[in-house]
Parts: sequence; C-alpha cells; structure tokens
Amino acid sequence: MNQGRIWLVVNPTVGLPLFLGTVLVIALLVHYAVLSHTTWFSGYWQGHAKPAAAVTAPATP
Amino acid sequence: MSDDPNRVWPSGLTLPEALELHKHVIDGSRIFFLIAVFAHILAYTYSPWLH
Repeated sequence: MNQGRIWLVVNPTVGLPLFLGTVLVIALLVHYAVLSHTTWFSGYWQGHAKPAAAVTAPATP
Repeated sequence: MSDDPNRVWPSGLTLPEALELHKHVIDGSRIFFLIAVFAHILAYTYSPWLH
C-alpha cells in the first residue's frame, strides 16, 4: 500500500486502463501459450468421450 | 481547481485522492489474486498439469 503516490505522477485516466489492459494481455498470452503447448487444454475443449471401461454395464446372463 | 496547493502535478490529484484510489487498486488486485489461486487449484486438481 506504499505505492499510492504513483497516482500523483501517473494520471489514473491513463494508468488504470493501461494497468488493467496489461493484465488482460498477459492473461490472454498465458492461456494461448498453455493451449498451444499442451494437448490436455484443447482436449478438454474437444471433449473426449468417457473411456468405455468406466461405463460398461454388468453383463446380464 | 486552478492553483489549489494540494493538487500535485502531473496528475493533478491530491495525496488523499491518490491513496484512496490506490486502496481500490490494491483491493481489486487481491481479489484477482484469490480468484487466480482458486483457478490454479482447480487446474492442478482436474488437469494433467504437474502430474
């Protein structure tokens, strides 16, 4: 909380959107990096079918 | 507004105004942090990440 005087130097009408916009850009970059460097992220969106073994009903005689 | 001695340039805010604004910025950042921690816990639990 000791950085409050930054707003005496940086005009909030510029500093706030810049700060929030930067957080947004970083978040998008990180999500894109994970999406493009893993299989499980896109696999999650792809929606794999449940493995058959987990849903087989007991064989009725 | 023109030559108020309490207003500090270049931003033109007074010190109390700047500190009040910053309190909201810090509170918002803390809420963002908590949400991010929760999201990372979910990602660690339900994804192959780090397993």
